[in-house]
Amino acid sequence: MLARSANGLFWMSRYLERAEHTARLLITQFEAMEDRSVEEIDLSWRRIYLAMGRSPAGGDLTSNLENEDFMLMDAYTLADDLTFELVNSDSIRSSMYFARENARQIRNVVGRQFWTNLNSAYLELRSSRIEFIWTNKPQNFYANQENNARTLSGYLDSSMYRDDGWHFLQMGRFIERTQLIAALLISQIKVFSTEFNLQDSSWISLMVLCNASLAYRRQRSLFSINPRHVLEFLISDAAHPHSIHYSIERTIEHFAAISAEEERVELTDISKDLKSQLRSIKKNWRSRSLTDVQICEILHNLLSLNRETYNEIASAYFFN
Amino acid sequence: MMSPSEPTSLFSNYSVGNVFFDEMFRPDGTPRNACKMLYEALNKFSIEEMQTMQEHAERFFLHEGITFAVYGDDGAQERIIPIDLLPRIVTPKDWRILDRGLRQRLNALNQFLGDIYGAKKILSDGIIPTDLVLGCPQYRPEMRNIQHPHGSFVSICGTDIVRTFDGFMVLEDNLRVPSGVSYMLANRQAVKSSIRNLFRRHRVRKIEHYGQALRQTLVEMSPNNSADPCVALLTPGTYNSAFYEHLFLAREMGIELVQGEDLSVRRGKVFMRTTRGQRQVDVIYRRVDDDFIDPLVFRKDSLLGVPGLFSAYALGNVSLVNAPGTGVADDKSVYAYVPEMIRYYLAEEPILANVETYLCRNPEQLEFVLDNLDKLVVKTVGGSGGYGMLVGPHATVAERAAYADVMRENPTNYIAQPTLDLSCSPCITASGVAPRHVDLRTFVLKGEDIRIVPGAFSRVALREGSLVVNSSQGGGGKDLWVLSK
Repeated sequence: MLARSANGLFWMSRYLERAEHTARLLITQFEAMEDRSVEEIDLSWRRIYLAMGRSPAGGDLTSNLENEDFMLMDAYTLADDLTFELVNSDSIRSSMYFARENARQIRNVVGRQFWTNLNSAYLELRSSRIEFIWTNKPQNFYANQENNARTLSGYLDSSMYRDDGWHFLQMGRFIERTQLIAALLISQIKVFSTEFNLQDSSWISLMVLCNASLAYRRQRSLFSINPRHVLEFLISDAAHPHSIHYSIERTIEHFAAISAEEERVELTDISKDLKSQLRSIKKNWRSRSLTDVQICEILHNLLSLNRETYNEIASAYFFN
Repeated sequence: MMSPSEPTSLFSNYSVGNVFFDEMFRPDGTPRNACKMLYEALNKFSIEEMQTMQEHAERFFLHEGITFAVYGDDGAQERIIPIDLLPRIVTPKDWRILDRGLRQRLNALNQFLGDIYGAKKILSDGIIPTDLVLGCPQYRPEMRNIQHPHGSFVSICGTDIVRTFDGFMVLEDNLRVPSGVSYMLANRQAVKSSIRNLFRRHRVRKIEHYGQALRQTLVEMSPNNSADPCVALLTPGTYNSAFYEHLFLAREMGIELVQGEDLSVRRGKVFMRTTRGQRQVDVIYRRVDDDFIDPLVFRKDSLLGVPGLFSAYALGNVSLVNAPGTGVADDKSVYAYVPEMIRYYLAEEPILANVETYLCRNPEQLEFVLDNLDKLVVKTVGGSGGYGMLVGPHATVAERAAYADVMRENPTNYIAQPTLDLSCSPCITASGVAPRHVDLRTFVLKGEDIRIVPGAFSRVALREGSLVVNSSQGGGGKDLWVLSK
């Protein structure tokens, strides 16, 4: 496959994953705004922005917690920033824009139906305005965005030929997912802490953000939320598609498929690094003695390994 | 002016004149034989129904991303080519004339190119002035003595044809990187899905195999006669106005769509960067202009091409389709000599007529043109897309005077033609169905043999009274139905 096309598939897939994730963040946030305290809503915004490594538009989130009207007005600005701001590479529009730009260049690879659906989803998003979303039920709009991104991924799952292109697409998806979940967990720990279990609802919403509510409920009880258990599940569960463990395993799997016919030592090393990271996660969680700081350190290491993995793949395959 | 017989809602305001040939109606207002069934079936629709179908078709174009100019985000520049859903019909007899004429013309043009980059007999025999050819900016001395498989310098030709009461005439031959074929296919798709039953009943000849025909043509252009050569389409990239078409054709043919940065030249061979390493490319269907294909030979500042590409081509290690330097044969001055080329190389009379052309390089003809600017269309010899031309009858006195001054400074750069009475075809407008001027761009392929898909991109001047059909000047398109026998 043409190296540029592989790069396009990889990034298109990353941006679709990102669009879906941001949409889910906003669905959860707007649901929280219906019945949670002003302080909790503010902390949830903080969780989102910390995870993105971005300063919210207008500066400090906690500027006026006493004034509920102000807080809601601020939410309007923040939602606009996360939905439409093209400069914000995590906004839904920005993610969909870049997914579309990548897809546009590889339309001959992804197929007509996929392209048409992506293009239609983007054109619809582009014509939307925050004013309209705000005055209707915002969750519906974001649910629609999440659904669009999932449907698009589903199209690819059901129609793409399982050659190199498919493996690059999947690597993009799971590398991005690892990145998004690790960053979200770090911000969760920083904002809410596992050591003071005061905000059950924030841990429940974390599981919603990671599509984990149902799976977690089947494994454990949602009635007594233990933040450590939640983290353990989202990091080390091997069967949950939105866990870090699962995402890394899939990355390794697709990576192995691509490099099976190659003699690339440096890539084998990456694979080894990822595998050893997985082993280390399992081992650490068995001990259950980690502090929040140590957990964050593990997650930060994962993030840098993830970035390194991308760099190696890019230099070996995209810019060889 | 007359009205068609039995006027109904759709055609009730349609007026047929005797100034322009109407593709659907005779001058007395009755539908032509081949169009009767279409006319009667269309009359069952109301104008509102047709307008709604038209809107659906336009939405289909937008969502499919069938755009003409794509400059990134934010819609204003992401334009669709307007489509008119009412098809234009060509009878089997008319198509036979076009088919034969186009084959004849492309054969002669390819022989001409082989000759002027080889023995130059046509020049030494005085059929065409030597300075006209060798002094043409599109003549590439670098091409001298380079051979092409099957003598096909031009493998993809987009000839523009108009019809008047005198019959079909060739307006120009596009021999460099002609575009529009994807719109021909997209229009067919849109029309088929909008008026499916009508389409079925008319026994319209198929055009959907164009991608296969093009791929077969490119395969035949392989320099090493390989049965399974590596073929790629070279595009300038997403910002090119025809990028949609490049994608479309690459997808139809199942070949890679490459940009200059994807290719490199090593040891005289061209390679593309794949995830499995470098892969040699045998045939490049290049949609990049001559000037930009190789900065080592042509424009040094080009970032679109591939350094060393031309030398790999000259060594015979890769085929470039179309060949560089083919633009000399579609130069508007050289165009005037195509009938002579046909007589010279094929010993035949031209089947398709040229439009009468005045060469301003000739002082007498220049004077005539300047004296009759108000009746003529003046074009630059190397121009395309309707840019830089003067439509005398529609220009103001001041505009004509200013244009005349520019012409006098460099007369060799201009030709003039009479204002043509382009034929009209019924089109859907905001106020009902009305006649609009049309031409047609045909697509002729030549590898080992010539292939012509029975169809064309019929361009429409959407503005009332306008004769400019170019997409870049706001023209639209309609489907062309070539009927089976």
